[in-house]
Amino acid sequence: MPRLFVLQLSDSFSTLWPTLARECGLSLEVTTSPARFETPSDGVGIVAAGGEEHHLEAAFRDLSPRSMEVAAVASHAEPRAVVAAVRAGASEYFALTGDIDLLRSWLREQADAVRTRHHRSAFAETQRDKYQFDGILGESPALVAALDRAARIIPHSGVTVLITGETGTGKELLARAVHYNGPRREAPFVDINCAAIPEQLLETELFGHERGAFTDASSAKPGLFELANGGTLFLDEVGHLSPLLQGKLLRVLQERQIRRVGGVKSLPVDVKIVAATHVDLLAAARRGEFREDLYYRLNVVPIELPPLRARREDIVPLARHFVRQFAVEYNLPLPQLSPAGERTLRHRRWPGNVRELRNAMERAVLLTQGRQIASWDVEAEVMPDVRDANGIPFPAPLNTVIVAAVPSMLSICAGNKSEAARRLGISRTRFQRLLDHGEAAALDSDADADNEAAPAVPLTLLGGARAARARSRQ
Amino acid sequence: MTLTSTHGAVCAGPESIDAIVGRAEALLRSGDAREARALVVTSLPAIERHGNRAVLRKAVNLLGAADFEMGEFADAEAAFHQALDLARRDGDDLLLARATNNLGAIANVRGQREKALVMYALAVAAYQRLGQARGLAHAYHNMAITFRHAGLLDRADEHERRAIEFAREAPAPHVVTLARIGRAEISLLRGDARLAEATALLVARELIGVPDPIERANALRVAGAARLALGNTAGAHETLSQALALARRHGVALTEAETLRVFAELHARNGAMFEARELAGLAIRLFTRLGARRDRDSLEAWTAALGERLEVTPSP
Repeated sequence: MPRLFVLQLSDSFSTLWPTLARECGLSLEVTTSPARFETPSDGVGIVAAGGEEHHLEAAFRDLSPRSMEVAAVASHAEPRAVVAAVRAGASEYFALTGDIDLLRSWLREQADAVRTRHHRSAFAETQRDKYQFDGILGESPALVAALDRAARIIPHSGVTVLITGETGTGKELLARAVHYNGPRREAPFVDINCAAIPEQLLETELFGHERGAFTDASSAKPGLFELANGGTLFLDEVGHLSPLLQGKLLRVLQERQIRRVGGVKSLPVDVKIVAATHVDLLAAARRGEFREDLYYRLNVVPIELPPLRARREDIVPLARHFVRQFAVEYNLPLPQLSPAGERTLRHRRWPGNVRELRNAMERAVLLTQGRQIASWDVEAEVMPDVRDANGIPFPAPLNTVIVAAVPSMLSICAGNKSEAARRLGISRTRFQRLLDHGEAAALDSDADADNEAAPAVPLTLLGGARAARARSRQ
Repeated sequence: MTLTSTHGAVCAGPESIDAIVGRAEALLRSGDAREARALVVTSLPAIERHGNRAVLRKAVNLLGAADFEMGEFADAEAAFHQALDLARRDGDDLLLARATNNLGAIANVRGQREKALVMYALAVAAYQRLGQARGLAHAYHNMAITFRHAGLLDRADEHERRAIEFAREAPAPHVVTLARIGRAEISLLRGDARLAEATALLVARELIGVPDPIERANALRVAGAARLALGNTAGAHETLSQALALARRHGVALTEAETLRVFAELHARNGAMFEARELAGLAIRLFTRLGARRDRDSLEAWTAALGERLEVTPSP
C-alpha cells in the first residue's frame, strides 16, 4: 500500500489525516520533525502548516532531496506564501477547508501513480520469469545456437534484431525473451503485426498524427513509436511493410527520430527494434520488393529459428511439456502419451511448427480427459466440413457463409438475381461479384459489406451482437 | 463544444462531486446505465465548475460507458474522445488506455475492423506502459473478437490465448472465462466441433457454483451449438434448454436471443420448420430490441430462406 507521510508544522488538521489516508488507500505516517520525514519513492508527502504558513518555505528547503511528490497544506492561500512554498519545492499548495476535494483528488492521483510504478516493476518481473531463456525448451543444435546468439545480444540495449523463421517457430516468444531479460524490461514491449493492418492505418498507428492531418484527426495522437519509447517495438511480419513505410522505418533507424503524420516537428525516440519475418528478406530485396538498405539496417543481429522438422528430437519432450501444462491449466488428470502416440508425433508433418504441436497437445488433453493419449488423438486433424440442410457451411466465418448463400439463394429465387440480392440484403452488383469471384470477392468487399444496410445471410450462431455489447469493455 | 453544453446544464446538489461520480459508477456496474447517465449529465456542469480534473475525467469516461451500454454509440464515441483528450492533457495513462480500448469496441460494433485493431493495439501499448495485466487481457480479448469476425481464426485464437495468459496474471478470472468461451467459438468456426464442445462444457462445469450465470449460459450455448454441429441433436437440445433457462432467469436478452437462434437451427435440422421459424422470430424481436442490427438482418435472411422450404416441406 502506498504511504502518506505528513510533516506537521502545527496541530491544525491533525484529525484529518487518518480519514484522508483511508479514503485514498494510503497508510499513514505522521511526524513533527523534518529530520524524520521520509521521502521514499513509494509514498506521497504533505507538509501541513495551518497557521504557520510563514514556516512552509523553510520547511521545504530543509527537506532532503526526495523522490516523491510533496504538497503544502495551509489554512489560507496568501499569494506570497504560495509562491514561496512552490519555489522551495512544493508540488502543490492546498488551502483548507476550501480545497479539501482538490487535496483528496491529488492524493488519489499520487497514490495511483505510486501503484502504477509498482505495477510496472512487478509486471516486468513476472514477464521476465515467464520469458526466461531456460524456459524455451529444446536441445537441438540449431535451436541452441539461435538461443545462444540471442542471449549474447541481451545486454546491448539498442541493437536491432531480425528474427527469421517459419510460422509458429516462436519468433514472438524470442522477441519477448530478448526484451524482458534485457535492460529495457521495465519499459514497454509493444508489438504490431505489419500484415494485419492496411498501409495508411499502419502509418498513423506507428508514427501517430497531428490534429487535422486527415478528416478524422480531430486531435493529435501519439503512435506506437512514442508509446514504446524507452522500450522495444516488435515489428512482426516486417516483410509486409509498404515501400513508403519501409522508407519511414529506415529513417527512424538512421536518425532515431520520428515525425507524426501531418507534423513538421521531428521527435526523438529511444526504441529498440526487433523485427521478425517468415519470408526471405534478402531474396525479397533482390527482387526489388524490399529495400536493401533497410534489410541491412534490420539485419544487424540475425537470429534464425529452426522449423520443428529440423529438431525432431525436441518433439516428444515438447509434447510432454505441453501435456503437463494443459492438464494443470484445465485442472484435468494428467494423461500419458502412449508409445504409438509418441511415434506418430515424431513422424507427423508439422507445417505450423511448435504452435501446431502445442495446439495438438492441448486438443488431446481436452478430448482425452485423462485417458492415455493414443496415436489417433494426435494424428493430423481433418476438420469435418459440417453443412446444414441448405448446403451452407455451418458453422463458418461470415464471408464463407455469404459466398455459399449466393448460389443457394439464386436457386431459391429461380435464377432471379435482383430478387436473390434483395432477399440477402446486398446490392445486385455485390451479388454478381460474389457469384463471379466467390470468396475472394467476399473478402475484398468486406468493408463495403459492413456499410451496407443488411449485411447478408443466415445463421452463423456467432453473430456480431456479442461484440457489440463488448463484454470486455472497461 | 463541451459535454456540458451538449448535455445541458443542471446544477449538482450538495453531495460531493466525488460521491456523485462514485454513485453513478455503482449504478452503471449494477446494470442501470440510464440512471447512471442521467446522474452524470446532471452533475457535469458542477464538476466542470469545480475544477477537479480527476473527477471530471472519470465522469466523462462514465458518461461514455453509460451511452455505450444504452447503444448510443455516437454519443459514447464523443464522450470517449473527450476522455482521451483529457487523459492526454493530464497525463492519465490508465484512462488513455481505457478510452482507446473503448473506442476500439465502438469501431468494432460499426464493423470498422481495421480501425478497431488500431485502437486496440494502441490500448495494448498503453497498458504495457502501465504494466496492467488486466487491461492487456481485456484488450487482447477484444482484438480476438475482431479477428474472429474478420475470419482470421488463427490470429483470433492466439489473441485469446494471450488474453488468458494476462488474465491469469492479473488475476481476472472473468476474462479467462470470456476468452475460453471465445476459443470454443473459434474451434466451432474452424469446424472442430469436438474441441468446441469439450472446451465449452469444461467452462460451464467450472462455473457451477460461481456467481456468473451469464457466462455459464454462454458456455452452454456454445456447447449446444457444437453438439448440433456434431449431429447430436438430443444433447444439443438438453444443453440449449439449460442455457435458455439461465438466460431467461437472469434477464440476459442477448444470450437468450443467441440461444433461440441455435434452437431455431436445431428445429430446422430436425425438419420442424414451423417451430424453427417461430423461435427465429422470437430471436429477431430480441435482437431488434437490443439494436443488434447485423444479427437481426442475418437471421431475417435465414428465416426468409427457411420460409421457402416451409412451403415445400411443411413440418408434420
